[in-house]
Amino acid sequence: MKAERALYWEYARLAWPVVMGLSIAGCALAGLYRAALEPLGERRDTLAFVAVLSTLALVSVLAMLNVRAEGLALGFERRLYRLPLPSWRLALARQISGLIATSAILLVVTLCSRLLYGVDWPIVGPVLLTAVILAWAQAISWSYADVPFLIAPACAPVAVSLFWLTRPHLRAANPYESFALTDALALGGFLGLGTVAGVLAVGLDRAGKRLIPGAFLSRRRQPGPSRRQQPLVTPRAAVLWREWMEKGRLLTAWTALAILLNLAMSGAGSPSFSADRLLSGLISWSGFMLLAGPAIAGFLHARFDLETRDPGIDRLRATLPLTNQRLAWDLLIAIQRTLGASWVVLVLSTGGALLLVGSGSRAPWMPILEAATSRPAAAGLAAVLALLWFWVIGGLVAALVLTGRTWVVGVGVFLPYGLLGLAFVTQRITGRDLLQDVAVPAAISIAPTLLGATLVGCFVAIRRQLLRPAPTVLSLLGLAMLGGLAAWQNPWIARLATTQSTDALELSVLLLLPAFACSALLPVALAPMALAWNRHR
Amino acid sequence: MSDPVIEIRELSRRFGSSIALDHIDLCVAEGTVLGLIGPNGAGKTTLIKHILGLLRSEQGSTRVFGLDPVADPEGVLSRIGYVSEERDLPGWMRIRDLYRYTRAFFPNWDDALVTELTERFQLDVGQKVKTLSRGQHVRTALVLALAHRPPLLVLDEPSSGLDPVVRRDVLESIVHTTAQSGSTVLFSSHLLDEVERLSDRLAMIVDGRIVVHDELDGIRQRHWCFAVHYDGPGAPLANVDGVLKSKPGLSPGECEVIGEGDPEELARALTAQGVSVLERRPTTLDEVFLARIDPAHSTQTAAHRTDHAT
Repeated sequence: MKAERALYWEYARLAWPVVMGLSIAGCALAGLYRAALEPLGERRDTLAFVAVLSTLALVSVLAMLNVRAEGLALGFERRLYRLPLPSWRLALARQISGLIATSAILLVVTLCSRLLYGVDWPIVGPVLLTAVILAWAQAISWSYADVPFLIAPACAPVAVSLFWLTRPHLRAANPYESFALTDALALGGFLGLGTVAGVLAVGLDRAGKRLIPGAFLSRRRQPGPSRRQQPLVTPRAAVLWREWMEKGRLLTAWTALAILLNLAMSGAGSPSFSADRLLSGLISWSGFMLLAGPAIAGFLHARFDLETRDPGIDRLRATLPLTNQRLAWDLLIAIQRTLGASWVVLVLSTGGALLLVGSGSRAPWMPILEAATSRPAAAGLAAVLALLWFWVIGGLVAALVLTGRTWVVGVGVFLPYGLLGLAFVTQRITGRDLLQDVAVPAAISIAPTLLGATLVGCFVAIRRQLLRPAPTVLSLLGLAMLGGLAAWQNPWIARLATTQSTDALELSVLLLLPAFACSALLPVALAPMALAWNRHR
Repeated sequence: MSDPVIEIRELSRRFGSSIALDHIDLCVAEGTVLGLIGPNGAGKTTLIKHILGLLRSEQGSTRVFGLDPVADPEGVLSRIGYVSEERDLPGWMRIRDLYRYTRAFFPNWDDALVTELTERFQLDVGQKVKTLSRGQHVRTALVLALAHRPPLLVLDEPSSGLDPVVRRDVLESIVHTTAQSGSTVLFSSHLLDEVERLSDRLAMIVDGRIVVHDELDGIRQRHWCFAVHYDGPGAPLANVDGVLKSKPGLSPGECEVIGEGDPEELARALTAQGVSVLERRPTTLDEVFLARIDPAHSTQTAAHRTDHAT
């Protein structure tokens, strides 16, 4: 058994950062999840929690830390084929290792949540279910590593079967709170099948065979006239094309998949879909979208297949004959387009789902529509500011990513979540609400901080000849006016400003929208600086 | 005389506590084929990265076409064709996608040349980059580097992975053709025979310092190998001024000495140590290279480095 021991040792060395990272991220996200949903009386728990949060956390940590994919035993390394071991032993070693790692993550997160949040989430059922999911994920990823577009179709029958198998349990508030022998047998059988499929996949791959029609693949590889002969005319078109091909379509597809998953989870707890149920699911989805920041940054930071060695900008991009300003701007636009596409998918799918489900006498979006039509100017400005908000958040994430430093991205994206998680945990343990303590100082400082950071960022970028002074100043003035107009049109701001007892807070509230509008220039200033720092090390 | 294409002055770079480049001075004139040789980890790639602007000079200056590659990456990179030693082309693209993508950045892109080179290199444009062999990858990178007819071609270890036929027939003809068209070529290699065949000038880099930079003939004419005979335990020849390396000969009491400088003066200096010179001959590039990188003589050779670095 020495050979297996060596494999386990190697796997442990690869997997420990992933296990630790996912466990910590899972605990933090569990805290945020509970804090966000507790006021709503939300009780759909384990499966939604496990499926959505662990997926987000997995993508975040995998992509963010640019860890090797073998850390979760997804993607079978072909170098292992050089070892003098039969395929079934190689496959089994990786399967058992992955099972131990994922079970450990789930145990830590569940126990932490039980301890901190007093929930009664079960352990055995979810662990076994996760093992089943992992076994099939391994089998499919090992089979179709070279043809990723086949992974989704291959997953579909497995997902449907699994959904059908677990559907009775999903109706309960806590899925698998009662775990019968029949459940164990069903999940055990599914696990066994997944394990066999994984072993078969490795054996076939090692023998140079595949579970897909060879003729289909060979036809794809035939040389011949280009299907895309039209040239990319400008450098920006080329940058946009590459970013879209590498990341955009993945993130968009990912968003669509996550929405479907969440909608399925929303409906799973109820005997039938309804608009209320759907809206409830979408509310929790919007909460998840906030938590998806690390995942988005991860996608942008490293390509999903984790091939790049220089995150953010690789050697080919770095040696393109473009100025830092131009390249950063093109990348910023490309990243924003990627994020925008994801939001469009989100909005369209939400609207479509609402239309499909219907709501009886009164459509759920009617109050929003009525409020918007009663004050069109305010609604229009709010829409513009909402777009600016997406631009600023996406742009700041992009600027972090363009530094190419994993530690900067990690600190910049995870730190806010870590601090929030810490506040929730502290409140749970000591009863002291740190968020309330810092609310007033934060509210006072947010507008000056935003404004100050924007002005300093623009000033430094102008000094380093990464921004042109005249357009920058004009843009700042225009944005400040837009923000001022929005503040003037917004009765909430005016009421809040006049009813506050602190002068500083009143000033900050009045400055909030102009400062926020000005901060639209912050990514434009920071992105070229971040890129230059990355490109010329 | 025209301005140098590459002008590096007192360039130094550290990575943590290790010194990657140590006061490098290098000028490359237009139309030159410069071979950069040195052992692994000597600093060849670091130097090339400074020329491309991928690394910022910590000390000293780098000018390419009279421009700072960090301050003006567009001005510099639009005139450079670069082949990296690493497989850093995006693996998901097919070769035709890669051509289409890269074409957008270079106004001088020559489609006819791309077609010609693709056929010459026997590349299948429908193949994905990640499925290419090392040799095919280098050939693809070469097509991309040459397609805009750059006035400066920078090749970082281009031969690794190429079979001898491709190396001799294709790579060498490309370098010669490029040089004949008036372009400048800088290529790093650890294959001395290749450097000898291709380059007009050679820069040898050891431990981050350029220890030799001259025309090939000049290097050969300056370095000599002496077969000497000595009685008794042997003289400390390594300390003789101008001697780079001494090694035992085939017979007892004999050794071979590699030295740099005037051969008559070297012979006199050796004789003064009590040895008799049996034979004198010009060195091969191999012998100069091995003498320069031998760590046993690093202290002695250090005294000469500054003198000979150009």
